[in-house]
Amino acid sequence: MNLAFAAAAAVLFGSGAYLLLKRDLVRMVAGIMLISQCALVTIIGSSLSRGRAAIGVRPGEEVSDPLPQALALTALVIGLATVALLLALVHRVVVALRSAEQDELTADEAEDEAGLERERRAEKDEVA
Amino acid sequence: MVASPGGVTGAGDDQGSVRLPGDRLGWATCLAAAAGFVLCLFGWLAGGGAVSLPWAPSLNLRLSFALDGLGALYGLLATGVGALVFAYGTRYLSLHLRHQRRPAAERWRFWPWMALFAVAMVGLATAQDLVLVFVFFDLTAVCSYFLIGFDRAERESRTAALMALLVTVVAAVAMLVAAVLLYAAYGTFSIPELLARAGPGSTTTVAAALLAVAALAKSAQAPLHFWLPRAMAAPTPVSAYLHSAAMVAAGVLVIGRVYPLLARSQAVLTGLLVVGATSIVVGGVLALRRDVLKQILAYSTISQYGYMVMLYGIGGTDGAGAAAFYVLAHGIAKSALFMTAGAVTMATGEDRLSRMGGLGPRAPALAVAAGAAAATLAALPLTMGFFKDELLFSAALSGGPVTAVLAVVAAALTFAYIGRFWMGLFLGPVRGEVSATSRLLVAPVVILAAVAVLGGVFVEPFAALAGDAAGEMTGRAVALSPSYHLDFRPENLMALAGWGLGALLIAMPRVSGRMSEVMAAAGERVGPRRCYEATLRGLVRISAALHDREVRDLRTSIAAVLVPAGLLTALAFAATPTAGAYFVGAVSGADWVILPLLALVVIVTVMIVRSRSRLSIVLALAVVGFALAAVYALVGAPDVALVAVAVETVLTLVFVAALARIPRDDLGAVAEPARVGRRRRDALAGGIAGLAAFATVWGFLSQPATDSVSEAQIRLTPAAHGGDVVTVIVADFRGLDTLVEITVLLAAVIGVATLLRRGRLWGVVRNGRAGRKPAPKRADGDGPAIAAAEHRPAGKVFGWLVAPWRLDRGRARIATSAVVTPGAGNDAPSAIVRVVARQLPGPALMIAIGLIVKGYVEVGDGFAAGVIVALAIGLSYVAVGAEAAEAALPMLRHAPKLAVGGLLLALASGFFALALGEAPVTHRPAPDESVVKIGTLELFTPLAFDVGIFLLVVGVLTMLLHHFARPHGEGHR
Repeated sequence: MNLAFAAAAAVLFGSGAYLLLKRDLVRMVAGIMLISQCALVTIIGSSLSRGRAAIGVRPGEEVSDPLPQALALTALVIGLATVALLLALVHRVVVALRSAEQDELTADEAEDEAGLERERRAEKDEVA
Repeated sequence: MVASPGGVTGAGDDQGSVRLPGDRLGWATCLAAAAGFVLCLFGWLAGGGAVSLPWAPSLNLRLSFALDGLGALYGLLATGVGALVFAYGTRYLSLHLRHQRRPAAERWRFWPWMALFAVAMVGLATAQDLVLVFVFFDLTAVCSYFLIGFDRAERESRTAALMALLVTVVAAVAMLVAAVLLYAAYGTFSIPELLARAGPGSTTTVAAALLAVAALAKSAQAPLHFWLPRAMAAPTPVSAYLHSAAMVAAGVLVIGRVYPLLARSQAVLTGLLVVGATSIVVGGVLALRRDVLKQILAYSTISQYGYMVMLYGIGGTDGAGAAAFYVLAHGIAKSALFMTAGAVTMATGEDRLSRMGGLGPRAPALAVAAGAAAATLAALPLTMGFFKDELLFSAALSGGPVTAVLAVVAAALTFAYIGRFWMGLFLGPVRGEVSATSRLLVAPVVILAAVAVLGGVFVEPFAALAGDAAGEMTGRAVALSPSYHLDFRPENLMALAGWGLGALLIAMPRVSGRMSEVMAAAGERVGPRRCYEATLRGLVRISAALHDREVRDLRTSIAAVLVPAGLLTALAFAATPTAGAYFVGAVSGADWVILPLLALVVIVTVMIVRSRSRLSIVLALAVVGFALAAVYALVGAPDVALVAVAVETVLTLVFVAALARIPRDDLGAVAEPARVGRRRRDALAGGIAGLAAFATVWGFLSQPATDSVSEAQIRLTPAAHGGDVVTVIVADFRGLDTLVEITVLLAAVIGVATLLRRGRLWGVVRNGRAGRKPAPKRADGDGPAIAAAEHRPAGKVFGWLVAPWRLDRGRARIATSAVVTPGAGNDAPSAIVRVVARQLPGPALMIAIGLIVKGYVEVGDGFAAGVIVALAIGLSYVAVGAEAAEAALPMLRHAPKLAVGGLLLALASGFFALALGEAPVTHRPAPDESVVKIGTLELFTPLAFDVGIFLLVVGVLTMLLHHFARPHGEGHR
């Protein structure tokens, strides 16, 4: 089973990384979601013991490791918060800059940067 | 304290007659310095004293100070000269600010730094711990940055301040490295212990050399001297204090403090000798031809501290004693000369020697006092300076013929440039207009000159002080007994030779000028300042290049995280043996169901990657989430499965709402295909990332830890009044984690509100005015109106958060026509769905209450309960549209209060234990106490914690739904 969990986590991570490199902001969010799923699978896969749910445990009973489950719960909630924030960011960027394409955003930013660069150059002589 | 308003009168520069506002802040600083002087003096006379307080016991660090001979010498110098310079500064600064038409309140930018500098200097003089020395050393540099850059409107000042800071602070890092080296080798930072323990050896040599580098940069020694002439951009009191007796003295002070360490290595001593001699010649020759008064003095300082460094290099008790006496004599004289330069500049408005002259008759007191100070520097008899050179010559003689010749050359150069300085100022024909000089600008010079002359007559107290300091440095008693001898001993002959040569240099200005110019030109071409500037430019270029690569583009930012992470992983793999480390693991029982589910996850993930439609990506993500939730259920994690299902549903809802809310024409229905090359490269990167993750995760899963806290947690769960171990871990054992987590949740939703709604946690932004009603009948905001609302500065709840986030740059436009709300329009859900959705929140609430009640015994907890209620609300949003849903359930507008209240409740139940003196998240009643029960519900604090989480989750998720369903609070059609 180790192998199966590892393979699933690997596919999730690789796909997530691939999507992160996409130009489309929405796909980047999807990539981040996949990577957090990868983390969850890994955490759950790392349980030291497998068995019944750890509820009302009687001595000597074989139960699933509860600690990774508690960690996974935390990860799930934080994941939800992160993705919601990311989506809001994407929404704001699209509304403000009228594009969800990174290349266009970059070009836009480069324009801005050029302006900043001129200011910076003016200040640079000051340093030396 | 200083209540005087800006004294910008602009009336005449006649400082003598115009009344300036008193500088009470300056006088207070001056008095404090004087008090410090008296304290130091009595402390020294009483035989010193020491304080040692624990600082960081684990590192064996102590705040240890001792007023020993060395500490007394530098402490007296810093406070004594400081008090006089501060008195001078009260007048000077007022004039300076008035000339520059700056408000008098600007002195608040000056005196606190001066005071802090004096404190740091005394601290440095008395510190007995290497780390403490480093702290004070850098503190003086920081103060000097603000003081040199006091005229911050002028670029010259800013550049000079930065240069002084960079050169001295970067060099000071060497001191820290040395401290760590010594600590690693000898296990202590305490200087006395180090001196006792450190024997000769490579560690000691390297550490000594590093200490010397830091100290030499501070004392402006070649080749790190170039910052000092630039630092003359500072107001004169700063130069008179920092650049004569304080900051530059800090360097030789540190050398003196660790002198026995340096003396363990002949190479380091030789290095000191060479650096000192170079500085003497470079500084002295360059000072010969400078025109700006303070520049002459700056180069003179470089040269004079060169004397001291050379004396240290010569070594022995002679060298140490002479160096200590030299610091004293030089500090007094140089400070007086700097103040003379400032007074003269204030009187004439000129700062160049070539434009002044003949001031003697106009300012006789200043001329005489400055003459005495100059004579001290030039080592004429009847001044303290004579003895400094006598000691120098006898030490140089003991160092051999080379040092003896160098000493004579040094004396000649000093005589020449300081003679030119004084004669140029006070003798010859009168040039330029001269106004009366304020008495306050002259008195400190006179006092210092008087001290210098006094030292020329009664040298014993000064010699005793210097001898004490030298004894501290060398560890042996040093008795200095300089006196006048009217005979032809070598010292006297050398002094005569020095004066003669110096007079020759003055008499032949062309020769000396040519020499100075050649050296200045050479320094300009290949000097260290060029090196500094080139380094700085290079660093700026590298930084810009890195910035361009890493920050400018989101993709490269991501790569900047992923690539180093991957490299580190690869390194770890290269360093770890992997043979036999991987195990496939057994497959049994429920695993046969899990395997196809994981296969489904893999297949759907690949589909996500290949998909071209965004909506299908979102739906496929939901499939992945649900399949994984099923996996969790099968591995015996029902809590995780329950929450995963609920979270996945909410996320899908939110994602779809967000997609629908993004104006479609801007989004582009289908992203145009990227270039093939780039796609291949991305695929390759993704593939490598996947393979790396596979190798790492598989390895990690194959080597499980041998033991875990899980067993203890299972064992303790009944004692915590719980049945479900996972719930107990979340609410009790790891309660602090959970507290942080729900705080993050709330913070995130506030972030969402900030981005989508200018910080309004709930409600409608319309025409810049916030409507409190959750459901306006009909939005009158068409595109332009909402765009206007977008541009309006938001003075809302969190409006201040938004200001730096203004992404729209005046171009935001919302295509309301393209905005689609789930459930709106023609393809609304069927009547059944709508009816059910309307009825759902009630039953959902019942289920939630059930989950909380049973939570500690059975599956589920506050979080799951909260998500379930939120889901019911979400369904009604989907079924009847956001507007109608909020109209139907008006209490939804209380969601923010619910969230905050929930957080407060959770915090209170988590931290009330602190008030009882227990660890946070200690629950009551304690494990062994009995608990009030209502059925299976046990009334104890984790229940309150859980209810808090429940309320927060309901509130937060409702807000999320609300914000994404109606991002601008506009009504939809």
